[in-house]
Amino acid sequence: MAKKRILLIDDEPGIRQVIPVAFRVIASWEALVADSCQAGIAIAEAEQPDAILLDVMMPEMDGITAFGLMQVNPAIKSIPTILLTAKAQASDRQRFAQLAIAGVITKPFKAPDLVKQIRLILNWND
Amino acid sequence: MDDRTKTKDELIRELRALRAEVAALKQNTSAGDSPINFPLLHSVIDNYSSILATRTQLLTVKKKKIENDTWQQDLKKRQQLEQEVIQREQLFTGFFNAATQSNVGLFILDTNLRFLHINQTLAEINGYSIEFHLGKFLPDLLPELGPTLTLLLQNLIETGQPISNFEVSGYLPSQPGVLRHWLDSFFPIFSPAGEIIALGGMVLEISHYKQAIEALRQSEFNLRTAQRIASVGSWHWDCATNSVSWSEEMYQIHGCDPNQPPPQGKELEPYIHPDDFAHYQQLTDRALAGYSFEVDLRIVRPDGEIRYIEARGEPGVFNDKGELLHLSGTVLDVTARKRVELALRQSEFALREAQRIASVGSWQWQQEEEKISWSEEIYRIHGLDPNSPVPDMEKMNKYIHPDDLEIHQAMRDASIKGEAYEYDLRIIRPDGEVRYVEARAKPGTFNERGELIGLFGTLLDVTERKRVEAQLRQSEANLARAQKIAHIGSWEYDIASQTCTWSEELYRIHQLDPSLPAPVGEEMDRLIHPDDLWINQQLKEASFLGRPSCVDMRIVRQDGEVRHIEVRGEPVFNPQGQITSWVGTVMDITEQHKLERLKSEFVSVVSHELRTPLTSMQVALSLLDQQLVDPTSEDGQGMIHVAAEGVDRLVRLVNDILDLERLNSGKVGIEKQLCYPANLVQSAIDQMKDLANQYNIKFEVSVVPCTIRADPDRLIQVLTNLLSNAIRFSPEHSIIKIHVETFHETSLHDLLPATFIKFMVMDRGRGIPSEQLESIFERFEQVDASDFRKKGGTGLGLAICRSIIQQHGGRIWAESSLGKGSSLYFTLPILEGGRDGKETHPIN
Repeated sequence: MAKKRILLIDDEPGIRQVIPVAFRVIASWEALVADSCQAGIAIAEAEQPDAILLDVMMPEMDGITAFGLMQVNPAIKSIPTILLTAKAQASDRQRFAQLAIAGVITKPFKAPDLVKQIRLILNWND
Repeated sequence: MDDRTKTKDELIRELRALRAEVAALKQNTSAGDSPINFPLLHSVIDNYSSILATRTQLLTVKKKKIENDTWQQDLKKRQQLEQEVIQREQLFTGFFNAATQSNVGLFILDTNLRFLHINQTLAEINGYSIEFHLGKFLPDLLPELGPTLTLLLQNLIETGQPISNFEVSGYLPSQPGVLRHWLDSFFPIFSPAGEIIALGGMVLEISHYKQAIEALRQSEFNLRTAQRIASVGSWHWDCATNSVSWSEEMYQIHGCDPNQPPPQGKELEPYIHPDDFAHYQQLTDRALAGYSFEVDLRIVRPDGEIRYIEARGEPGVFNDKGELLHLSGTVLDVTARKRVELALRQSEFALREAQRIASVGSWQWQQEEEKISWSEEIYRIHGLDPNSPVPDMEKMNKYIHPDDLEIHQAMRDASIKGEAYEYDLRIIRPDGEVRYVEARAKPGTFNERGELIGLFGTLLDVTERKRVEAQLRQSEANLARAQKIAHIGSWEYDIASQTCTWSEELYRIHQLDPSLPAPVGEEMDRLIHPDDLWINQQLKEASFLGRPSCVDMRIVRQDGEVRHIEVRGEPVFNPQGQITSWVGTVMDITEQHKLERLKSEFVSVVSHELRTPLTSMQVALSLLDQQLVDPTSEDGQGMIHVAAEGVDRLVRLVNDILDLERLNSGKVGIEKQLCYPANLVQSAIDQMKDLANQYNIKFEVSVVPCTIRADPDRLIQVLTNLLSNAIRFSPEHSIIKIHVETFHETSLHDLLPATFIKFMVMDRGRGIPSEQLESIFERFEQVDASDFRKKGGTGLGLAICRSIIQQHGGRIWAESSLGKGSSLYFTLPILEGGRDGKETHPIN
């Protein structure tokens, strides 16, 4: 089975530093990282990752807007996307539920839990 | 022929011939001829009866003469007889003349109704001279009276019966067209043989008497008529006979039979009302003493009806001895007047009471009275004595509030023109109390020449109403103010009229013109945000069901601004349980909504800002903790570094949050002291030196020397914040300018001129979009949060700066040019003349 490749789009340097390590050491997944949505969409088009972890709250373009763009982009619209959000309010969850996303993972989380939740959402049995 | 041989008939014939002869002669002679020129002849004619008698004696003497045949003796006798005849003729003439002097007409006619003798009085009555009458036929001379008199006299000749005191009326030639009246007596004159030989008559003119009688009758008739019309009766009491007489109207007034004698003495007592009897007796005594009187009494008619009379008595008439002869007086039936007076009194009383209860006074002016009269209530309204005269113009001005004198003048002007008016004005009572009145006047009345003859107006005391109105206005103003402060409007929808009324604040919430009618139906729907029309529909349905309701919805103002409102409504029921209207409130909750949104956003941002470093930390620490990563490896070191940075960041964030919260809540006081801006700037630069060096950034400082009163630590905190931001966003090797100067401006605190100090920190960074120049001072409103975090910011620094500066009485703002850099300014009041900026103290 080919190694899973997950694109992580997050403006937080700490996140971009620790999650790839977690993916590698826990699940042997390869992490692609982007610090902005624009960069992320470009990488997704180019690299066609197995999944996208998309932070919601980012400057310039937020995750929701970026997801909308991805949905209308035939090259990447089929890539399952999981939202990462620090927003835990019910209203946010309702908003996200209306989107055609694979799932939502709420920050913070421990590294093994993150991997577990991704596997659960994406139904990966690797 | 010798007279002595003549028979009686012969003598008569001779006499007649002689009489006719004399008459002809008289007629032919001048008018100035007097019958005295023919005394004998006249006497013969006029004293026909005596002559006849004398002739008879002469005949007798003649017979004797013949018998005795002694002529001389006869002649002597004859002369004696003639002398006797002359005397008789003189007596006869004297009698006729005397009758003339007594205005009694006498005449003698022959049986053919020819005048044989007439005296001067009757001649003048008839309008001819005596001479003209003689020998003329009566019917010829008096054509008007002829038929009547001829009939009478012929009847007399036939019957021989005298006619006495026969009243004759008619017209005579002496005064054609004037009806005259006489009292005539006719009698036959007989010969000794009993034969009617002539007719005598006596005429007394009674025209004046008849006229007087007629006038008296007319006068009495007029009096009776006048008494009847005026309901005035008269009475007369004669002392000598102790009897009373009544006029016809007296009977009418007393309801008595006019054919019966009037009640006398005590008989009158039952006719007087018992309650007025004592009074009546007093008057009677007074009248008997000879005094006049005038009094109102009640009388009782025989049928029991009570009438009012006005009785007047004339002063008594006394004789020389001072004894009362008679009394007279009048009685006027004033029942109708009394009833009208009573009704008027009742009406006036009712009007007075009504005016008193309603606090309405009235006044009127009548041209004939030439004065204004006030009702009692007007006096009361003015606080004046009702018995005092109506104040004149000058005095009246003192009773008008000085501010309302113009109104009073306008009222007068209108009155002079007879125009209607209605004014509200204030009056001042003599005790100084100010009252509000409503003065009204109806249009004046004018005569046919267009002259003003009457005015009528009212004065209504509206003080209480004005007070209530003022209270109501105050209450409404308070309510409106309260509504304005609370942004709560109120409304009422009337089902019957399908109209809605809005409070002023509701118009303000909708930004609509309050002079327009409140919108209903579709007009109202147009004011509601299209997405919230369903909410309005729900509200209506709840209202129809009679349920109170409360909904939040959005409205769209004319300028397109969307506002959030909370609408509450509840039905109003009538006693029958039917809904008559709905009332409710509308609260503008836009700010509240915004605050809630901000709060929600803040929680969301804080949540994000806390969770973001926590996420990195938790992932890193979980990898280390579960030994998935070797702490000594490169990954392990990276994990430790991320965790450590995260902790630092959280500490800064928590500190800033707490700091801001304490500043905003006033839990941290500003401790002011004298300080020098240059020192503050230097301290801030010292703290930022390392960071600046890190980016190779230099400072260019220019500070005006002055003293301020401020909390130095807090100002240094502001300056380091601004410098920190400037450093983080400035390109490397750039210069940050720090400039401090003073300027003069009107203080917003007390609106007095004041000196301020202005700090400026200018960088060469990428600048701030204009729409964010205000919001950067809000919490977590960085231009670019990721940049900020990269540079170690928490997103709360400028919010903290604003709080500190505001608590120093200054203000902070930003100016920027995108791509060229930003300048952050703040001002503080400078110490001058003992004045200072606002101080704050910590709240325990």
